[in-house]
Amino acid sequence: MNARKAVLRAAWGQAKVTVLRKYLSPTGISLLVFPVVVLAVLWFVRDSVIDGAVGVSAWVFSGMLAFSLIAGAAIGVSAEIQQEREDGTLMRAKAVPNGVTGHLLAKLVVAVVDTAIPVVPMVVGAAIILPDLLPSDPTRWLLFVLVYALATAAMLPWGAVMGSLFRSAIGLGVASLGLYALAIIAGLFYPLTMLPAALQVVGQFTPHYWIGLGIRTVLLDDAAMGLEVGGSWRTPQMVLVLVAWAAVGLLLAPVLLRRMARRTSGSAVAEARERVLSRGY
Amino acid sequence: MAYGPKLVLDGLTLEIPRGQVVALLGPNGAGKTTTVEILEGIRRPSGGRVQVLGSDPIRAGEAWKARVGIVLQSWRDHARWRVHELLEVIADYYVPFATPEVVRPWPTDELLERVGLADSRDQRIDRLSGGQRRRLDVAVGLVGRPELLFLDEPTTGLDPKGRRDIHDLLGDVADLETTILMTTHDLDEAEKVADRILVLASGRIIADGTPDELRLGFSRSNEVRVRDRATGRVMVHSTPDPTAWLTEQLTLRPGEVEVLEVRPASLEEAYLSVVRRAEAGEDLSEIATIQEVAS
Repeated sequence: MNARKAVLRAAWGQAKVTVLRKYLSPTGISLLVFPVVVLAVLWFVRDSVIDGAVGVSAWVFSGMLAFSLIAGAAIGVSAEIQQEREDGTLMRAKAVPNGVTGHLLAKLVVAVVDTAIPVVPMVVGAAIILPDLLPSDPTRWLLFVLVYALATAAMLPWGAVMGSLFRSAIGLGVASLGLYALAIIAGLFYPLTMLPAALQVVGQFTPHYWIGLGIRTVLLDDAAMGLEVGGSWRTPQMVLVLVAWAAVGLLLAPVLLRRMARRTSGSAVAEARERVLSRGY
Repeated sequence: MAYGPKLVLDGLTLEIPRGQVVALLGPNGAGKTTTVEILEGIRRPSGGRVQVLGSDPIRAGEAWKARVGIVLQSWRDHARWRVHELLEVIADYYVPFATPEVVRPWPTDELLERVGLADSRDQRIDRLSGGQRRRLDVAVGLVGRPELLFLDEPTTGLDPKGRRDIHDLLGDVADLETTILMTTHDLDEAEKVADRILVLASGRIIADGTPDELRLGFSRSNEVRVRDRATGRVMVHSTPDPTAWLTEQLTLRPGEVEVLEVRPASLEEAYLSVVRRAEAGEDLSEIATIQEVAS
């Protein structure tokens, strides 16, 4: 068997076991509860309308989709990378021929699954109890998949960047809170145009805003355009901004991940163990 | 090897022939882990020349890695995986490195049998006992059938039975003609497992030899106990040359003393005293060369 094929095969096997073990555990299954709660709330507000144009549930549904993608891709992945450096997973990969390459490939597959896992039950649930939330024609579905792929590509590398930059779980936790906080001023859960002008500017610098905008473009009626900045979906800008985030992230992530892998040593793992045993985190 | 201005390894010269089981012994902070990580290619030395299996570890490629096994101490990695899953996933990476002479990887079930984990094949890794977990670590190190196996403190934190199991397992592995380099801070363990012991203290090798050679080299002092026949008082005297001292005593006081015991200092006491002296900065070159003298 040639070497490259062997690495791909090994990475695929690794990804399969990882996904299986993650989502068959109680923590994994609890991830499915969140979408159910969201849908229940949306069902209760199904008749409320913003500005006589857009249903509240439709807006929040698109915001929730965008948010779970950002959380899954950036926050979930970064926390995992940080933890694997301390628990010895990365060291194991380093000790094996082509192990680091295989580990990162497997991670990529798992991360894509991770971002899809919260979305699938939300979309399926919506199809059952609130079918009006979902696009009706096939072109919009296609666009939905494209926006989703673009958003994943824009966020995943940044999750990897964060995970390799922060050495401690605490630093990473603070950074993750920052990402959550940005979701508030990025107009994911209510129109950005409702915020003061200064915050609107800040909001538009976040990838959160553009991911939210992309998903609204697909899910909301064109009547909702009036609530957006400039009264338009600004699709070309949305695509450009997300491609730019993806491009910069994809340039940075491999460099930082390699640097992190190179610097990891057994003593770092031992130190982390001592710390956890004595301090508890 | 230096961390900033602090020199942790200095003038370390070391050659290990194929098939030898070597224990790198030393107190905590002596530089054992650093030495092993340099040899494993995980850490870049700040100077000097390193060759392991004919290559510089830090530059060696993936094929080199396939010939080297590293036993890590598992802690909470892959907690939810089953035992056989971890071995199978890691084994896949070794498939392209099989040669006509060496079948790689080691088939999982056969390997589990060999390390005594056949019954735990389908267990969650975080539900294994400490000793079982360490055996899994050894299995992971062996799955590529390495020519050279590194173990960093393989028995730390294990109960006596767990330690005994690992020692037996290492004996088994040595029978596979695998060269083994392990670190330990336990003299007893080094004596039990290794063909050759290297004592590392303050970043230098202060002793190098078989357990018996070390015993000779370390034992600078012997303990002599004599009793005064008249008073019944027992006198304990430490001396590097018990024959001379006894001759003197017995000629000076003929018939007055009775020799009770002459014994060399225990290996452990000797080891501790050598380490203390090295850490105090004493020159121990005469101990470091005992192997040449003895062989």
